[in-house]
Amino acid sequence: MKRKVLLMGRSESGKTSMRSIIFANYIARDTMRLGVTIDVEHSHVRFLGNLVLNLWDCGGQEGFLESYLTTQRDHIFRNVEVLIYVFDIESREHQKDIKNYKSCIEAISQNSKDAKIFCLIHKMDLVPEDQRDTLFKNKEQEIRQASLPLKPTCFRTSIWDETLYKAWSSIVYSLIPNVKVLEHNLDKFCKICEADEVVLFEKATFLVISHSARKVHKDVHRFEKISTIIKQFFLSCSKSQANFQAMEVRNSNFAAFIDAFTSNTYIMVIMSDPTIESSATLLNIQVAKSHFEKFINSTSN
Amino acid sequence: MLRSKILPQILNQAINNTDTKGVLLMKDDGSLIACSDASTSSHNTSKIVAAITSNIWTAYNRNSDLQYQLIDCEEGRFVITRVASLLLCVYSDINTEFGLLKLKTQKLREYLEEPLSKVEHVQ
Repeated sequence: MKRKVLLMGRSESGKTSMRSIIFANYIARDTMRLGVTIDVEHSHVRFLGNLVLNLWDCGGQEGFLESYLTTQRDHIFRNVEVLIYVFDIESREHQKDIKNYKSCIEAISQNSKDAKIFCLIHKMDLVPEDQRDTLFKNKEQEIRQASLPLKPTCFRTSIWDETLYKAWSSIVYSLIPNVKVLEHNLDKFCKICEADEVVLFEKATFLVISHSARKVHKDVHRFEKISTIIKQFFLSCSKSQANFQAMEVRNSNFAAFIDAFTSNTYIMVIMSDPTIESSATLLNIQVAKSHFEKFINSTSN
Repeated sequence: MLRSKILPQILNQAINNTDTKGVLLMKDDGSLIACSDASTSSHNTSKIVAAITSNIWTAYNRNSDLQYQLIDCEEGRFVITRVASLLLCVYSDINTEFGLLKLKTQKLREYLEEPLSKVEHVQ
């Protein structure tokens, strides 16, 4: 099952860097050595087994943009499931960016009007912290105006913190078929295990696919934070030739179990009940594995 | 799947402060699945007992036909048996007779055998 995802935006806005961090195991610092993308770079990313994201990383230089909107218009904009448009917050050519964006929106509404649109306002780390919220809100307003009648979802991102994972998790989440049924099953699993929270991550990218909680948690950004932390740990393990398989983190308040779940996912189970033994939870995870394996494979078909 | 909150409550039925000190359900490698201790003993004791008794069981279980193992020590008594693919251990202090301990273990085993067999990886 292939899903076409377009990644567009002006030159040097950070598209290839983002793609490399999420899908190619680059760490933020590695992206400094990336060069200019020439025309369109196609990558096929396997996600959740049978789901293939056909990622079109479109070079942002003027010349290429011209050709996308004219000669390659149909080829580029047809059959698109998701359009990700990246705005560089530091850009000096504000009006031009919006104009280009509008042209892309027009092309999309003509060729793939059901496509989901995500706008990433990138390089937020270059903005002083106290100005970030207002700047983001203003930009979001502007983008929404320019996108009418289509409705984009806007995210603020930076490759240097967890906001990148939040945006991409949401994007990928919207592409997973039957995600509601997956969540329903995860809810059941959470209840039987008596866990506080259960989170399902995709194996290669550590993006959050689904989660279920029995106890409300005050940190709304915990998912992306965990994605970032675990991914970094995973990458440092592979650099030392160690294969990360499973982890148990325990203190007086909780125990967290991170383990490989199905062939394409990792699961994290948080337990705060001290009377429940680790082995019991690990056993339950084992039992649930085979059930979910069958289920996730049928989901991606 | 196991209802890990309910298991200790079931095991607790065998506990009686006057005779039994603890009931444990563990895997063959000694890791605890569930345990219930009398108020006089601590959780740590249960973990140690689990590790040692599972080791003693596997050591004596040469032909895989061991049914019950009774261990008589200076300050305590243990009865170990198999339930589905797990080990059940009931222990007490020196004053309790083996017959009583074994009977308790037997009843618990009969009660738990069927539901535990239905859980995968525990069969």
